[in-house]
Amino acid sequence: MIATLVRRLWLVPVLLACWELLARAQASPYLPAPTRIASWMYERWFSGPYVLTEEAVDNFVPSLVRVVGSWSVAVVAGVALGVAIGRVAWLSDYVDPLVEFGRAVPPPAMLPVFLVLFTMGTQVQVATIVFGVVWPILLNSIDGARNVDPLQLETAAVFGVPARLRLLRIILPSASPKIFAGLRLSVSLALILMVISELKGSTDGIGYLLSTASNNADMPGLWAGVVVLGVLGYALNSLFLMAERRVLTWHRGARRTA
Amino acid sequence: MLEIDNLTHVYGPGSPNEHRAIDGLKLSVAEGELLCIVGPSGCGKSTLLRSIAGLITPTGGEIRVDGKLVRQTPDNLAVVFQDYSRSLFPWMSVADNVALPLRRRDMDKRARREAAQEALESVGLLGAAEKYPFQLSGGMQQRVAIARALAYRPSLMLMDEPFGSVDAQTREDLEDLVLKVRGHHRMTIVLITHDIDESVYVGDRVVVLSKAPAHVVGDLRVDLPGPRDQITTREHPDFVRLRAEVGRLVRGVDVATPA
Repeated sequence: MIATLVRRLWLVPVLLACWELLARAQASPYLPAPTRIASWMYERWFSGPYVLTEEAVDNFVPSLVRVVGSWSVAVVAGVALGVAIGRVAWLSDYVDPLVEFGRAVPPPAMLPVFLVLFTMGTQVQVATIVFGVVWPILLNSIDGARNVDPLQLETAAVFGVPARLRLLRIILPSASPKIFAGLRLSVSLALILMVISELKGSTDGIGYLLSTASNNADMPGLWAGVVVLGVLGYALNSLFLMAERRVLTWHRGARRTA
Repeated sequence: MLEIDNLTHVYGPGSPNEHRAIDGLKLSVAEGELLCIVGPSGCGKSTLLRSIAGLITPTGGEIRVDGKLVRQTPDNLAVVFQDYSRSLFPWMSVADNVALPLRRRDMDKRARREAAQEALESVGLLGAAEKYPFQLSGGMQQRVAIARALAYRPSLMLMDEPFGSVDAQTREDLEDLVLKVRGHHRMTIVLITHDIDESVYVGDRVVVLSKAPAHVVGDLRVDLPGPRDQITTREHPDFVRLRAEVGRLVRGVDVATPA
C-alpha cells in the first residue's frame, strides 16, 4: 500500500522541490515558490475558526453548488430526454437534426448569449454548464436506449413486465454502460465550464478569484486557484468513478467472461 | 390447449426478397402434452414459436391458446429462449431474474421471493440465488431461464432450441430436468429442436416440419416405457425405430436438394 503510493507519487515532491529551488534562485514576483502559495492558501483560506475562513467559503461554496447542481440538472434532463428519443422512433426523427446542431456548438460560445439573457451570477453559470454538458449525456443515453438487445425486450414482453418496470429495470440498466460513458465526459466538462463562466459573469467563486487575482497580479492567489481546481477536479472524478464501479459491477463481470 | 390453423407467415410480402417461412401449418396440442417440433435448420421453427408467443403477427391463419385467439403474448405462456446469455438480464441477480416476471402476478414481495426460491430449488440452483448470471456456466444459466419460466406458472411453456448452446453432457442433464419438472408442474410444453434424438427422447409426440415454407410432414406418438433414462431409453428398440423414422422424415424433405 505505502510502497505503491511511494512508487506512484515520488515525482510530485521532487518536482515541487525543484520548483522551490528555482523560484528562490530567481526571486521573481511572477514565479512564487510553492511554500509561498501554501502560506497564501493557509492565511486566506484555512486559518478560520473552523479551519475554513469566510473568504474560503465565499470562494468555494458558490462554485461547488453551481457545478454539482448544474451537472445534476443536466444528468436528469439528458438521461430522460435521451431515453425518450432512443426508444420513440418518431421523436428521434424530429429531434435528431436539432441534437446534431446543438452538440456541434462549442459550449463557451453560448456564454455571451447567456450574459445578455440573464443577469450576472448563478443563472449564467447554470445555463452555461447545463447547455455545455448535456450533449454527451444526451447522445450516449440515446445510443444506449436505442441499442437495448431486442431479445431482452421480447423476454420482457413475453413475461408481461409492466411498462414502468420495463423502463426502470430493463431499458435504463441496459443503457447504463453507455450513459456512464457520457457522464464521465460531462464531469470534467462541467468543471471547465464552471471556471470559464465564472471568469466573466460572476462576482464570486473560484473563477472569479482567478480573474481578480489576475487583475491584481496576485501570483500566489492565481496559483492557489489553480491548485484548488486541480484538487476539486480530482475529487469529483474519483467520486464519480466510485459510483460507476458500484453501479456497473455486472457489466465488467459480464464483459470479462464474454 | 393450443390450436394452430392454416398458419402462414411471409416476411417482407411483395418485396424482392420476400420469404415464405410458414405455409398452411395445422397443428393441435392437447393439455399436458410435451410436443417436440423438429425440422431442418432455417425451416421456420422459430417463426412458428414467435407467432405462438405473440411476438410477431402471422400474415395468415389463426393461433388459439385455451380457445383464445393470440394477439399479444397470452398471460399463461412462458418462453425459454435458446440464447440464455441474452435473455437473462445480466444486471440482476439470479433470484431477481426469476422473480421479475412475477410482478405481473398478484403477489407481494415475499411471495415472489418464495416462488423464485422454489423454482430455483426445482432446477437445483438454490445456492446460486444471489449470484449474477455471468458467474454461472452456460448450462446453469439455462437452468435459471427454465426456473424463471417455472416460477411464472404458465400453462403453456415454449422452448426454442433450449439446449442448442450447451455441451453434450449438460444437454442430457437439461433434457432430464425438463422431464422431471413437467412431472411436478402440470403444463403443456412445446419444445423446438433440430436434434432428432432429443425430440424422441423428450417428447410424448414429435411433429416434423418440412423445410421452408414449413408445413407438417410427420406426426408421431412416442410410446416409450417410462421413466426415461439416457442409457436404457436410447437403446430401446422403439426409440431406435422412432428416431430412424423421424430422421427419414427430416431427411426426406432434403432429397430434392442434395447437399
